[in-house]
Amino acid sequence: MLEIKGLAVSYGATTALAGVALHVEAQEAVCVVGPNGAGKSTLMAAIAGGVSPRAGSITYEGKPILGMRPENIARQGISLVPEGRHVFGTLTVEENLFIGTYAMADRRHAAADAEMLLGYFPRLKERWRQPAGRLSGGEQQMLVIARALMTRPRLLLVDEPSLGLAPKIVDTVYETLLSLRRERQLTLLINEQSSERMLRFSDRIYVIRNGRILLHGRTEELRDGEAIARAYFGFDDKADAALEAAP
Amino acid sequence: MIETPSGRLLRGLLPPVLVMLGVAILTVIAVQLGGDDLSLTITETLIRLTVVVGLSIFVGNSGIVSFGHIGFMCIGAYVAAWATCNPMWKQLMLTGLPTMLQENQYPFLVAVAGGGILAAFVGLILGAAILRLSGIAASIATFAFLAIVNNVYSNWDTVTAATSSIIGIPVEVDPYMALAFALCAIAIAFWFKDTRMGLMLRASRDDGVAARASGVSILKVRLVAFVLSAFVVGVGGTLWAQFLGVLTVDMFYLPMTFMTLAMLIVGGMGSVTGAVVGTIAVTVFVQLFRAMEGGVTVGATTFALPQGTQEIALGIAMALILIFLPAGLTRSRELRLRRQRAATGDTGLGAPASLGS
Repeated sequence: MLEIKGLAVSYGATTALAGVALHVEAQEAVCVVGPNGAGKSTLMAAIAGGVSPRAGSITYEGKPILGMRPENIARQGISLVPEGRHVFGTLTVEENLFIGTYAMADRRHAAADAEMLLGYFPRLKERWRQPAGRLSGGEQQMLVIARALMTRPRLLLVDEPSLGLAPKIVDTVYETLLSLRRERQLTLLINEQSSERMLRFSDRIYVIRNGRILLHGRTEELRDGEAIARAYFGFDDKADAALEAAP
Repeated sequence: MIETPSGRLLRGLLPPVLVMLGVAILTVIAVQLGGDDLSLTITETLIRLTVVVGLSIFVGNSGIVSFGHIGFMCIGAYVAAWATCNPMWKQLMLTGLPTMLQENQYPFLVAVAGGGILAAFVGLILGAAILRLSGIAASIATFAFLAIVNNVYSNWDTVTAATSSIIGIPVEVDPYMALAFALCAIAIAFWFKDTRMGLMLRASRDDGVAARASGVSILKVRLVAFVLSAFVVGVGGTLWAQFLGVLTVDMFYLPMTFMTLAMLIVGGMGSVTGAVVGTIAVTVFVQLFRAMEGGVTVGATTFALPQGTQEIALGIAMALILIFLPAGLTRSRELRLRRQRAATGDTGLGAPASLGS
């Protein structure tokens, strides 16, 4: 469904991603893990059109999408849930939800979709007419996910859904995402810092550090967590280990 | 889904109807009670209200402060002058005008529409060029536009009479005429806010990244608001010309820009109600200080504030509002009834709220 090859992104002289290859099949839940600053968010931004890569290719359902504007990529059926709960604070929950459909040519299904999504996110129904800025963190995260789903994406990119949320709420968010995948045939690509959670919720895992994919495999093969920890923290690389140990 | 369509319509219509009723009632009372002087002030205020509401269509929904909209007012005002002045005078003074304009005199509404359309057209070209910029960069570009309009109109001898006044514009605008246009402007601003375009624009104001991720083309929605806003402000300019009967370029420069922005900021940039409340509040404030500068006689002595107190006081009032009420007197909310406010209010964290139909 999504195929990335040799992706390289630089911010000025800093290399954020180098030679990244990644693929996602339809209806998979794929996790990208890595420490802060590994390049996870840059990877998502590159797919969604938010940054311009220096090299590489990104194809979605056989069609190259690299270089398209973000709003056009969104219209192809890729929806990004950005990191940090970007709600439209002064708009109501209702208005937030429908924004994504306003740019679409066909909006007949919007009301029914909202109704369906409120089944998955009942808290939003309670807050329907309130400004989104007044919701709690967990509610905002759910609103952003629900809003992203209103454009009827086939691929949902979720950037660090667990950031700054209580563990119990994070579990709710993941469970909702997985039931959406099961029941609405959604494909998921999720950035995550916690390897424990990703082992529970994903089919395949990519470990990324310093802008490179260091490890990739099916979740059940990596179940013991040993290989992931090594790639994540760089224990198998003496130079890196020394770097990590330095104060 | 949660409420009936008619309930929804009512909820949407209530704030604009209340605001418009308020403005209309205030106007009628003031005109009936006051003399000719007050009637002029009312007309002036209502035209300003049209301009401020027009300005808020762009500024309020996009979050980009525009210093250039008085340029649109200038463009509109001069169209009105070109359309309605005595042909003999135009052939003598404005020799650069097209013959169609030189030889004819057009009715009031044609002048109004023409001013709005030219302002909107210029807004389209300017907006397409500068609205890619964000935040302060866009604001500075609008300021440059104001300076350009001022420069062109102060030097284009044969078309704008340069820095000389244009005189003899038929005076057509009385308080009720101005009221009609102000009410139209308010209705347009309320309508636009809740259109798909308006909502997408407000979303881009709250969070540009998320708006683009939701498929919003920020340039397009900004441009639509900019053109509409330029149209309304341009119409305001034509009213101004046909209220005063005399025009000079320097009417439409920094003092007017400062005054209209002050009105918007004082009332609250984010709402139409804010634009209306701000215009009224600042006008009352300024009139009060003007009267005190003129002197208040108590017995045999006259107390008067020194000239210029009004500007200083307005500056201080604005600073205080920015410090204590950054979202303005209305806190950038629209007028609502108490019952509605309760229904939309915060229900407290974690408490299950019921939202019946």
